[in-house]
Amino acid sequence: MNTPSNAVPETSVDARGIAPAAVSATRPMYWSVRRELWENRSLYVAPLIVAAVMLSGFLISTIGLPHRRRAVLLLGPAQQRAAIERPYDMAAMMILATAFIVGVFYCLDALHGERRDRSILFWKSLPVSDLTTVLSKASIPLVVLPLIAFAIIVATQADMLLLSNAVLRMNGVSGATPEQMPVFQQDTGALACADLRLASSRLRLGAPRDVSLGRAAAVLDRRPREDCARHFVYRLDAEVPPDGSHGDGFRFRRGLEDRIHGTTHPGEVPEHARSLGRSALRHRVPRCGGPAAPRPRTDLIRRALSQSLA
Amino acid sequence: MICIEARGLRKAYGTTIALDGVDLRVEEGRILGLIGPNGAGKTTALNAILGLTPYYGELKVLGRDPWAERDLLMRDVCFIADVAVLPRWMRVSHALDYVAGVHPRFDRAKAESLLAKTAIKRASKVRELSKGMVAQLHLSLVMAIDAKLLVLDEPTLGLDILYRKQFYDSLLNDYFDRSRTILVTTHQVEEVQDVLTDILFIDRGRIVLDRTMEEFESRYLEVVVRPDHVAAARALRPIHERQVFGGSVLLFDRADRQQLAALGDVRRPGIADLFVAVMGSPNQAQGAVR
Repeated sequence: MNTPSNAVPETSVDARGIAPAAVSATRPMYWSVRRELWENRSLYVAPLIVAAVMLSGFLISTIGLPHRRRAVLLLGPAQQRAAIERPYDMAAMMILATAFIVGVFYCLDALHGERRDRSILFWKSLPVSDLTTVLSKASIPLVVLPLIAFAIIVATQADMLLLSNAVLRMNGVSGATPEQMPVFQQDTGALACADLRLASSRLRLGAPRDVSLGRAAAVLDRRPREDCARHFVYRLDAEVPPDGSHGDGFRFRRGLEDRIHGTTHPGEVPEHARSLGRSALRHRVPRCGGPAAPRPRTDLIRRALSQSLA
Repeated sequence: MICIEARGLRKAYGTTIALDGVDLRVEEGRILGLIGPNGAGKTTALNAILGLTPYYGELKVLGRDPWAERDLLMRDVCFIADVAVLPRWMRVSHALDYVAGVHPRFDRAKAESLLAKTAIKRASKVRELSKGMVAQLHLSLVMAIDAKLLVLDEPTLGLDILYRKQFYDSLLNDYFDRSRTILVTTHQVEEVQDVLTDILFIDRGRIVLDRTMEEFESRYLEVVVRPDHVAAARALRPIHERQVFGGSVLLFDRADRQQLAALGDVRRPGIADLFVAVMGSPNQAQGAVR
């Protein structure tokens, strides 16, 4: 009757005292955490509401985004970065602050509430040890709430990124890249982010004739940088010689073709007008001409823009 | 097999002594009524048995020390404090999920079938249910647990008489078998009279009377004495006397039935009458215990 998973030594004089279906040690913990989430729905509802508010606010702010982004791109690299990151930081801060407040209120009531409404008599009538109960209550502000906040922040920032990229792309301005999301700048998340970036770069590979600024920067800047981990994925791409003579499949060749066509018949094909224009624009960027010093890609954008505007 | 065994159980809250050396022995398969006035120590005794409060003295419930091993003990012990203890925010489905999740002896199908007999909806929250429905829900949860000891502390407090009757009926018919033990405290003594197999009177932290129902029925007799026989009846040393319309009712312990029949109508007293007799007159109470 005593199954191996029943780790608790049975001291009962009665053999029937042993549970027929032994509950593993983690199950009461799991259900205790779940009941905390049932009881305190605000733990995830409040951050979600804030995220929704931030997203809708961001959605409204995308009305003037292309204009503002063009203005931002004329700034210095540090200011540029700060300006692009600001809404993402803002959303993360708001969600974190909400999670913190919710956590404080949770802690105030966690051990006292069930004594007050006497439901502690119900909880104590079940085979869950006091240790499990206290641990589950402690894990809410220490583990569960940070995880919820992190997940919601990542989701919100990803939505914001997609949203702004979609808007900017429709307006012919290159959007922010995933590494401009503050969350991806955490060293701890580097590996997971590499996966995400890989996925997103694949997505962008699939997008028709898009110019990846991240790639252009990586191609220009072959020297190892301090954040080389972040550029790991791009570095793999960047190992390809810039003339596209081998490797990297259709993407580079197509770019090359565009460039050739672009020089011979600039803007002649109506349905390719934009992409041709853009590839022509990129063509004017000195590819390997300059010194190989670290050059932020934003410089390139600015130079390219000023050239195209001139 | 002994279900509960206590020796010299003591508990004090500050200077107030709640339990003053309680000795208790409850065999398996009994339905024990723990009866006492307010503040007698009933709930303290139950709390000690359930491992909800520390105590002095020796106490074993199903062979375990309740204070040290409450979580293990609760696999075999169920507990209904009163109708107010189910968390009000909880949904019925959550309650089923949770108990099924943490209790190895919970039979979810049985709980579902018990709930199906009631008007309780799965999606309702406990706060939306009436008091009677909460009691039904709690009882359904508890009856689906294959426990060896069920402790009920004022389980029907605030319920109307129909619910109370239904509560004890389903407890007796659907739950109780000879291998289970039920410990119940209540003030509605007359309602549990037919349910109990043992009665235990407790007052000021001490056990004042401990009888099985068979003993109770064979020992105590109540006589409605006509006024002209009162003096003769009093000479037989009743343990309690009360006046009713048209005569006196005298309660006797171990008296001769033939002798009493000559004095008036002999009948079986209720537990409530004995309770009043024992609790109402402290001096006589000692006589009742001896």
